[in-house]
Amino acid sequence: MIDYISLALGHGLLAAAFLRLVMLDDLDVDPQVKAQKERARAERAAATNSGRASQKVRAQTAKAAAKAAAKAADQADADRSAS
Amino acid sequence: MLDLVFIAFIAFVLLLGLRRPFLWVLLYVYIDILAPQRIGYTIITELQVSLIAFAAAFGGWVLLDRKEGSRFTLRQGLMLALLVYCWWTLQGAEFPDSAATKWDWVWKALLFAIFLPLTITTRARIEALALTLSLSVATIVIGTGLKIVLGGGGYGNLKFFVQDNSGIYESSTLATVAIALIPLAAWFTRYGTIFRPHWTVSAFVLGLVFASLLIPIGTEARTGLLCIAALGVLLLRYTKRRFAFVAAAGVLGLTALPFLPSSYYERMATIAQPGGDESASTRLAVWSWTIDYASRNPMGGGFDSYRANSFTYVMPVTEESGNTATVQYRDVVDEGRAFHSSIFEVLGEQGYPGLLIWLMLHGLGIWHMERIYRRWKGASAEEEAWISPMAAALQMASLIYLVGALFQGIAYQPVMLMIIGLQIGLHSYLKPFEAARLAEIAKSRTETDMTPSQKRANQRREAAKARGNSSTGAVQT
Repeated sequence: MIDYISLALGHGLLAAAFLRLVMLDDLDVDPQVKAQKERARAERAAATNSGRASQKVRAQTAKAAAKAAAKAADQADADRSAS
Repeated sequence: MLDLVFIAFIAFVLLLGLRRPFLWVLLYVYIDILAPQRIGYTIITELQVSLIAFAAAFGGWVLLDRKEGSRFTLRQGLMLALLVYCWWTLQGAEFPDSAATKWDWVWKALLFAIFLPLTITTRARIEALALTLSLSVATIVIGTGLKIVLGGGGYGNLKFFVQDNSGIYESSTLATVAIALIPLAAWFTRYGTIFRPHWTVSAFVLGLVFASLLIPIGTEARTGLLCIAALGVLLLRYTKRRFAFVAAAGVLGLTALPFLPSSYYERMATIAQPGGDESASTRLAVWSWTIDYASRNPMGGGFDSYRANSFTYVMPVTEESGNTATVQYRDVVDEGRAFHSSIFEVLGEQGYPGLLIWLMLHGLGIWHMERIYRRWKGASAEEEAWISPMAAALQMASLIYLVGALFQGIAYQPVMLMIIGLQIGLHSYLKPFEAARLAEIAKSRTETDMTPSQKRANQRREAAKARGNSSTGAVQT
């Protein structure tokens, strides 16, 4: 009799646990792991974007500096020829 | 009738597994622990339920599982090395027939323990495995506990579901496993998500803990008493009010004393007097023989090499006639005495290389759980708070098992190999979160070391940084 009681209790609880697990999407896909992956992907993307942006800024600054230098040189030539 | 109930339950889980194949892994865990095919009498004994469940578990993982986050770790490598080494020692085993019998279940237990962590890739799976382990053992423990309360018991007299004294259905092994799983069962009262914390969960766990503590008493297994003592010492670390804890344990112990049978006192008294009991006194002789044997066979003698031993020694034998008890010292010859210790079991069977692998396997587990416990201690968010207590429970399970294993040959106990699988699964699952957690710890440590003015300056800096980020974000949009 005692054996039947404990077997019934154990199997009942196991069956209830398995039924709950079947309904649980988290069993196969962990929300934390998913969120961590998305965070990492976003960080990578942000790093790439900021890298690209700073490269662009550097290129624009260099271009502007070169332009300003060329303008200054032209101005100097013009001044020399006028004098 | 009982057979039909078991078959219906197994069929039910096989059916559920079609939607979630991981349930087939849990089905194998349940079958391996409870062994319904050995409890039943008719049809189920003919069915290869264990093989069916393993095939479903492995096939389901290979064909249907996402396998995202599955890793092969160092400890799985150690178990694989142990498995290969066991096979190698089998080839030159001193007693090939009995070695083959033991190999027949050891390789399955080791293979499943290697495979198990590959399937543990989510928090829900960690909890599901812990729950299946606990409930499968609880089914045996509750039945045994009820029998003890209702008057059964005594060393070798208690009737389990299975009467062949093998695997978990051996009194000392059951006592060790039951005590080792107490902290894990207690974990469910606070952090469970399958069965949420509720008074019904707490009541069930309380009853289970009580039944587990009764196992060493009811079976009069001395090793179980040592395991309870080990649990008490280990719990001191996690108890805030240590003095109250020690006092409560003392009161509880004293209250229980009058209810214990006299046979229990007699048997426990032999813990300190190994000379007065054949089982205890032969242990010392077997252990010394094993050291000697290992020096002659350092690579091991294969499974069941203990069969080579033979001892003659003088022992007090008590004879009672009426009211008179006479003690006589007689020569006792003992042959083929079992190792009575997992350390000596592995040393005698797999030699020093096997013992080294076995010790590394358990030592690394304790170390990994300690690291996880310390790293995640104090985490308060719901998705993190469960980690540190789970690591502590699994570490205690290992330590209690090792205390029990010092006095029993349970080196390849399947339940404990599954606990190792669970530890590896937890360690592996947390790997991706470690960097973020370490950064968090470093930040909180720096903040703790700061003076109030430094803290204010830091807060101002952070706020400015946040403003800068938001303005950059606005510009980018």
